[in-house]
Amino acid sequence: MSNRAQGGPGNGATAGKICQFKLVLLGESAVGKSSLVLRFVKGQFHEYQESTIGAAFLTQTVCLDDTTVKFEIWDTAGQERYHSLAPMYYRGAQAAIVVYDLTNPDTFSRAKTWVKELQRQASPNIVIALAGNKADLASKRAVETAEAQAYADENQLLFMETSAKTATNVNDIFLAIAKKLPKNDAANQQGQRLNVAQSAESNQSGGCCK
Amino acid sequence: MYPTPLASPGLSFAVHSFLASPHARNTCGHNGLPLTPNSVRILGRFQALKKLTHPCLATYLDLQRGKHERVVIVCESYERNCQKLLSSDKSPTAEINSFAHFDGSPPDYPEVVRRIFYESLHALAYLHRQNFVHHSVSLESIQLTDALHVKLSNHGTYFITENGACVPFPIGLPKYLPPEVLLDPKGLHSPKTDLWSLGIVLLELALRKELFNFELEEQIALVFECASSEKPVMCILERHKLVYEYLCLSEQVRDAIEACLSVPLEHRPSSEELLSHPYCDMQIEMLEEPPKGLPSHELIGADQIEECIENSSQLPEAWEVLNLHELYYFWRLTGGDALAEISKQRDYIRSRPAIFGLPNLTLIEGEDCGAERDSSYYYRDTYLRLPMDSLRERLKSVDPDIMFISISILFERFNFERHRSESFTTKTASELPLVIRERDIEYQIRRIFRFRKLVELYPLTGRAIQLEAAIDIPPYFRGHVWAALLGAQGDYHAEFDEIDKDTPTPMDRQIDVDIPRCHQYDQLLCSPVAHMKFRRLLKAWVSSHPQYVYWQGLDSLCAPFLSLHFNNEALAYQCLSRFVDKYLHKFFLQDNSQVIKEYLAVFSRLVTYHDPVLSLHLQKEDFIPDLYAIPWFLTMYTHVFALHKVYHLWDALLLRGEAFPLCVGVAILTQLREQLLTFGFNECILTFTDMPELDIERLVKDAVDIFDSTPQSICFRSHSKRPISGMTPLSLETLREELTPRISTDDFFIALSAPSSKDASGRTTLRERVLVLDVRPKEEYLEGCLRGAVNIPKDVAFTPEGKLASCPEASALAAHKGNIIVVFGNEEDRRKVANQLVHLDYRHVCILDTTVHDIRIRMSPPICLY
Repeated sequence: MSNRAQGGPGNGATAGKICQFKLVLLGESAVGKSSLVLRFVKGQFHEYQESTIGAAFLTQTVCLDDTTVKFEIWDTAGQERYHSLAPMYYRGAQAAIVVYDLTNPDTFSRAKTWVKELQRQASPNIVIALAGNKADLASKRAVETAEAQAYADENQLLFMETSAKTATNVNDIFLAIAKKLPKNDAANQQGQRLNVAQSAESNQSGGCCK
Repeated sequence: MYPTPLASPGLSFAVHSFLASPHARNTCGHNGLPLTPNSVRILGRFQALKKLTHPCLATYLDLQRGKHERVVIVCESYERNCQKLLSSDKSPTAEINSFAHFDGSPPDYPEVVRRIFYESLHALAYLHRQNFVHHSVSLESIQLTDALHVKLSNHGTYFITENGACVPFPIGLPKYLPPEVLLDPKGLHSPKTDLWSLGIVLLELALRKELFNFELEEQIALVFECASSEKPVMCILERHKLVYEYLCLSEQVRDAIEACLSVPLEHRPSSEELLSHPYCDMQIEMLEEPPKGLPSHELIGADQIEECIENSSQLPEAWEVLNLHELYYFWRLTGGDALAEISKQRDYIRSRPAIFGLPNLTLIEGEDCGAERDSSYYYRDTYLRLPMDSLRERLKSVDPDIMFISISILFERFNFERHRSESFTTKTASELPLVIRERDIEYQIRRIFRFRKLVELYPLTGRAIQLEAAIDIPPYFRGHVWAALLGAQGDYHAEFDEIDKDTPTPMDRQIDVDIPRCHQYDQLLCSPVAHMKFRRLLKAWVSSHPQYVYWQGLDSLCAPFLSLHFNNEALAYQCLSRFVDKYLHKFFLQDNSQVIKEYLAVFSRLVTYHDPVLSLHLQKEDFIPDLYAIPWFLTMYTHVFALHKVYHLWDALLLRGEAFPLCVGVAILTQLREQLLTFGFNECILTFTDMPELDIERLVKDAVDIFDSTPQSICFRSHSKRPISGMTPLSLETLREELTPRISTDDFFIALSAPSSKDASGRTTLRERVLVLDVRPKEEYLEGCLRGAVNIPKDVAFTPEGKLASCPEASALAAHKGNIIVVFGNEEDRRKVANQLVHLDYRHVCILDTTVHDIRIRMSPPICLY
């Protein structure tokens, strides 16, 4: 089924300075994952962004010095029940943004769980960024910047507080990821799209189709 | 007899309008979302007013939102009211005699006053029983019909504005408001407020004089003076120098007035108590009559049917049967537009150039200072009557026969075939595009007459509703018809009342974050009332289905039912519950992975069955349904289409079985086929990240064609509610490896027997020719085979390149390309051949789901050999 799983076209090598990376967004529901992507990809923001069921896919290209970086972004469903779908999306991803809502401490705990899971199960070189979203609601803040920053440092994560609504730090966090991603080590960039057939079999049971 | 709405020349629809308080810019609520505009809050609360049915209450029909938080309310309205009665120059007798339709001989003036008082009180008691406070009772709010009956109006303003919180003006005229209300103008006031107001009204009517004709400050001062007086009424009378006139009134009326004008709330009677006052000892025939027709929000239960049939046996007057909501619906179909009417009246909406409204100072928080208050923010209780002529004309020109057609259903309700042929009279119209039919008044009048009868007599008419709904469903009755198609019946109110909808559960956070994101482009669904109802429905569903859990997506499923049954949560719940049970069996299990994976695998095979080229292309690109189709099926397309599209899709869905959603999926792919074939993985997935604009009418038609041309067993799922018996449940591996679906022996023999036949559900379908391809070795074939089978043993079927080997049988197969090909043989062989046929672009290939052993009895030696 996934006859293109390994080394698809346009991936990796610096030739032509075009790199393609798979990035996945994870986090509790309603923290603003889809909104971050929408802001990054289309420059738009919808107050009533509808919930994501399963996952959504978008692409965006950024230029970094002399390299063009193309992100293939998987925006996943946040509800815990859809958890079992997640490995299908983060397996083979070179980057992940774990999002929490800085007005809600529970979503921060959930973000930590995601980070742990990624460290354990995603590819070892994955670049993980932590995004504290909804920075525009500063008056309702419930997770302190210092606390999140300390956690990020401890786990070697990129960290920014973002706001999809005001666009604060949205492009920046994607750019920071792009910078950190290796551009010349072809081995790291399998450009693996989705390894559905395999992941479906090798996954533990439970939840929506994997 | 209560006069027919249109026979009454005094009646028309009227609008009145006000501006809701605007929010300061950039303010947001506790969840970080922007505050809901007050006009939307009002819209949500308005819906409850449509449920009020009392012969002495003017009916609320519609609320529309205009620019700048303008709220436009459409309601039933009469030319005359009590205020005009008092200000008239004519003598009271002449005035009373001018009410043309007065039933019986006109009584004298005091008797008329007593009746007006009694009817108003009756209406108020009805409101109070349902926890509404009128708060604006005044001479003007008591409208009078041509038969001199009361139509109390303006009774919803206090309720819809959340007790005045949503608007920048106070509700009610100060002169009619009791002291305790004037002391605390904002806030929730007792229903007894209305009794004070009614007391003032009665005083004015009895004395035949409008009181408080002085400056506002003085009016308020007088009310406060009353508050500290032993006998408030005397305070007022002395001020107006009317004590003598008052003492000439009957003792009963004085006693009623004084009871109403008691300052302490505990001394003031409630509306219910006052009804037993001797002054109110009277009988009004109209008040005893049951409300006419079907309440617009209710689906009738079986117990009321007998009565309905009895009532229907006498032929009603042509337009008598239409209620005001229906008339208003038709008014809109004739091009009526309340918003447009009101903007035509320049002096009604006095708009000031915006530049005069600029503030002197704007704080960084968004608050404005120093802007002069626009007088358009004040309340104006002027009613603007809407033109009714084109509706009257239109209704006059409608063929009266359609009335008789609808009545005839009663007598033919067991003769559906005849009934069906009769509907060919509307056949030409029904060939027009659906969107045109839905706006065609002639057509809708026919449809509504037909359906209102059917809906009234449900569940007796269940089958007839199905037949009619197959033509189309008039939007006016969609909610009822859907409920009927889903088989809603029984005491759903009691059932819903018993469900625990309040106890907090761990699921609440998820529900609370999902609701404000669900179909929020819809004005009604984004109101707080809608959110509350959403929450109750979802919690009710979760708590009454312990075997299931809340999955995101259930909220979207809830939306169409909530939107259609906004005033009837119990029925919305009943529909949701039945819908999920029928179409999404086991989808909401905690672990639904097997169910969904099977569903998606069956979907893939169905795509292959109908379009092998597209299917192989998508598979080659790894574009598997797991990546895009979960929201389609889990939410039955409510997450991917806007409500107006969902309505048309579900109109078709509800008439069909569990397999229909799969066919819709195939229809979506085929509508986008040309693009998808040229697309790689990324383009494909991007296409469905935002569902492209699809022609929904074509989509429905394609889906129906696909459904009709697909034998039921092709869509067999072992997890469906009632799996087709005799089919082998297949493992997921088999479902994936075997590209083509399987057909049951029953379906196979039906398909074989005739090109056109009826299947189990009585549906007539045009079937294609069927070719049986027997892939067993020649010897076995010669021993016995299915009638007409063509034998191409698996081992010799294909050349090494995968092409069909050339032989006479292969030519027969090639000639049959496009028709149904049923592959028969041993497990491994038939799969290989069927898969290879798919790669050779053969459509409609399926595998006969039986073993040689099981079907031997139906085999015979081959008749002819190629």
